[in-house]
Amino acid sequence: MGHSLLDLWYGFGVALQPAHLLWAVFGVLLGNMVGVLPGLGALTTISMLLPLTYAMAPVPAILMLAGIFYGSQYGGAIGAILLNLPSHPPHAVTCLDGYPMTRAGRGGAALGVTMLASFFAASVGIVVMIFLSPYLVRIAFKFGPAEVSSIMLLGLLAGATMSRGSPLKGVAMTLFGMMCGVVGTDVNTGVLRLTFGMPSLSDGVELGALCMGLFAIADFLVTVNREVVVTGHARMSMRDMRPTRAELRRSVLPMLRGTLVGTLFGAIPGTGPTITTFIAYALERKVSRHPERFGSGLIEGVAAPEAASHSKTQVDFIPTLTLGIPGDAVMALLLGALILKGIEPGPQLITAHRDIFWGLVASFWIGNVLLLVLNVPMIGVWVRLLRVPYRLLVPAAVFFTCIGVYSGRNSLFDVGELAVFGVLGAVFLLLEFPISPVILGYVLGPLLEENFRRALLLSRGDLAVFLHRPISAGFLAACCVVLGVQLASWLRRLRMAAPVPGRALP
Amino acid sequence: MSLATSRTKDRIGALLLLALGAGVAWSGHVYRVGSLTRMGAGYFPMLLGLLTLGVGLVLGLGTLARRAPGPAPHDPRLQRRHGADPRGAALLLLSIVSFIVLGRYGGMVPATFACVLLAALADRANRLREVLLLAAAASLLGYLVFGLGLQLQFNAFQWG
Amino acid sequence: MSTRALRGAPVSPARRRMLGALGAAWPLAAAGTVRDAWAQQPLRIIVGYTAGGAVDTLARLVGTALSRSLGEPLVVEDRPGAGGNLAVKLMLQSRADGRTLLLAANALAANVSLYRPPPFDLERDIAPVGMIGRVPVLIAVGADSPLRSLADLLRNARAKPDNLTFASPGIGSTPHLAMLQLEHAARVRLRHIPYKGGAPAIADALAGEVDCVAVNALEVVDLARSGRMRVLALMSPRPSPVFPGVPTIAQSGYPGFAASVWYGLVAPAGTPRATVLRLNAALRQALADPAVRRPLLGAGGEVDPGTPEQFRQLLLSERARYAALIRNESIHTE
Repeated sequence: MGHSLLDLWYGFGVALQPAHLLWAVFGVLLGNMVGVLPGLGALTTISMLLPLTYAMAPVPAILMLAGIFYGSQYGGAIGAILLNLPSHPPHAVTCLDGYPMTRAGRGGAALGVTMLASFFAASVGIVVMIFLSPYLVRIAFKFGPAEVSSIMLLGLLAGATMSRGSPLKGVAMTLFGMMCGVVGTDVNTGVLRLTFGMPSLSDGVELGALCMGLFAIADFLVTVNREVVVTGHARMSMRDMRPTRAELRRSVLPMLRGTLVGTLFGAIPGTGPTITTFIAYALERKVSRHPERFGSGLIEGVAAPEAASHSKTQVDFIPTLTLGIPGDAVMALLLGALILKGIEPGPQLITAHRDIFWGLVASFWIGNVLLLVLNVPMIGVWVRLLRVPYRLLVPAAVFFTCIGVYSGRNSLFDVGELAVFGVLGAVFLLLEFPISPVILGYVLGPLLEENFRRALLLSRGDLAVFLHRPISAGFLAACCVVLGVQLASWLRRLRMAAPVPGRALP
Repeated sequence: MSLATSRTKDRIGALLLLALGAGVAWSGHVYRVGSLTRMGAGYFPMLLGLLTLGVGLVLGLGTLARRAPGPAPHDPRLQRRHGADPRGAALLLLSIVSFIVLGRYGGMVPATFACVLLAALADRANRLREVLLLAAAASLLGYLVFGLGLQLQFNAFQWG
Repeated sequence: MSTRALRGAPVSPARRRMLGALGAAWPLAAAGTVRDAWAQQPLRIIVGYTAGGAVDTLARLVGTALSRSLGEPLVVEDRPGAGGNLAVKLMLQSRADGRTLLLAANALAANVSLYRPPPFDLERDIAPVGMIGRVPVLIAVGADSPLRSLADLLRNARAKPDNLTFASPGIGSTPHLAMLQLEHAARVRLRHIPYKGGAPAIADALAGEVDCVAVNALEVVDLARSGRMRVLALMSPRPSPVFPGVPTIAQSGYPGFAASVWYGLVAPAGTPRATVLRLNAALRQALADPAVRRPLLGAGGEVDPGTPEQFRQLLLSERARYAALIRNESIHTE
């Protein structure tokens, strides 16, 4: 551990060199700006800016690119809270309580708490990453296909029943999301499913199009000319933009819980930030004394998922850096940038290129500090931007969404998907079906199927493998608990609503 | 176009679920189902389809019961006193479609212009002059930020 | 430019510095391009795989060097999807003027048999420009694995047929097809566990969930060097100094066995012959640059510039080979 501290000190030395710092700051700023724009995620930004790094030395290049990555995370929360536009699927959960807070005039407060929670969670994540990485990698290896599929099942069960209103409709939407996840090439057989002969669907529905369509476009379709969204009071004092002491106090525990969830899931391979934020939100609801108030603008519902997302992001760097195996597409891009510079990522990286590894780790923290310092004053600016009349914001948002979705794969077909999901989302809203379970189903369903089948392939069709492996058995037990609790509450509700003969119902 | 009662909404929802479930289950059958321990490509779709059918059925049956529907949700997002505005919604959709069509045949700048124009026209409160200004501004900004700044692979102008 | 400089008189130090600065700035200029109708037409390289992956990285390396020798700005366009078919489609939609190229790999030869109906016609639609090089496919295991050599693997496989598992980046991927070739040659039967890409396949091999992984050498070089993975065998025709002591399949009793991942540049059919030759010459020049050669050579591969005709021969022979393999195993992705 002492050795790590020494290395970290060295890393700070590298990261704080003026040239390096400059590029890191630039990356962080850029990522933050881009993160606010709906549809444009870190992935697209990094791939667009990759050519710029060709002429740069490795250290500043990787510092800049990493800065863009976590900078965009801070930015993503802004769009989600203020405009109900999740530019990044994990932020979809933040919309659920963040946007109602904005409509109640507490948008600035929500942003403030988000920034604080994000910074705290990222710092914890960095510490964990530095000191616990060898252990985490070892834990990660214990999660094979059987464990991952049990986790996914738990996530689906918890999530399907998490939404407001009729749990039946929540289940229906989860199933719909899972069906959307089926679209594409089946990993285990190579068969194209539900693609209707369109090759652009052979790799599945675009997540960005699904997310933005169901949340943003659907909302616009249903509210145009119908609802006047109050986007700002005539006079907004600084106090309105700051979270009250009560709000801050209420956010501490959710922030801690969210950070824990994010750190735990960060170590588990195959789980993206989306499921992490959903679980953090669901956990908050379960431990809350007023679960029915979620969705109407509770600060807990904003602090927890954002904390989870940020700590997960930091911890996610571990397998990428120490194994050279990217956890997701953005990591792959970062690794690609290294390879372009002639630097091989992997176990050698830490020893052969100490400056890059530890400089990067140090720059994570510096970057997060920068983002906090940058964003807190900017909250006023963002909130004031909202005073642009909603009727003018919507067309701009539609445009940003279109171009953001296009930039994912340089594909106009994907923009078509956006329109389709916009219509579907509008239908769901009109029929009072909840939308967030769709995202959950879309992300978890394919993972469940792929890992379940793979586990059976490996065990030669032996179902007992899910119970023989202790971690998997543990998660399955948790599934039973969740099911049991849900059934119990259903039975209770049925008994309460059972009509007594001769009495009219209220 | 207002779908007033909860009961009607649930009925329509149930019907849609039944149709969706049936369709996906059938597709599962086409892709070869296999068994639980040796799942074919169609097993999962079939399972999902059948579950959806089940949910649709339960939902539909629930509307037939002669008792008040379940507790109403408090989420303002879910409650719509009136349905959507068809003209506005149609224009919004058209704006996205025009982005696609003009993006393919005209380039990024015309696509942006048309998209913002139509989307802005969707809101009845917008005046034509504001709309044109907004569309022009968006096109210029889009070109600068995405075309030049971020090097997006999208031709600014394209001839057919 | 003063006539003095033109006549070969010594260049003043100031001018030299300026030229040096221009030279250093050139890569920046080449890499950053403005795409609109009024700028100089750029060289477009289409890549059918996601940004940041091995193919995309290679395309950028080669492309930058190419753009330098051709004097045209470079744009790399990623169009992933459908196993590379979407990128091919995009290329075929462009004008055959030598400005749009596709960075092709084995999928170009395999997809015509994997997908029904064939997404394109190799002979009618494609004009080969030149090969870039090859990288071996290899079989690797985690450091903790009981398998210590290829002989171990084959012995194990023969003793218990249809028992040993191998991970691959996907159905119809080059390593998958290469393992099928091995199964035929060695007359063994293994169990195939497909994954979505190389990274998860390697991860599960490291964890010991699968017995071994068949993968592109580019993806495991560093893991092998650090000792976290053991390479059991190379499938290239010749052994490589990058993997000392690792035998090839050909050396291990199956002479003539070879399976590699190859990369090359192609253009739409109808591109004028002179343009193709010009591009090929520029490609050879680009491939002489050590920075471009490094990734392939570092992974135990070869840089193999050839003529367009040689590349065409390779494409046709690979197509035939894959067609037979795919038909025998009835692999299809519909």
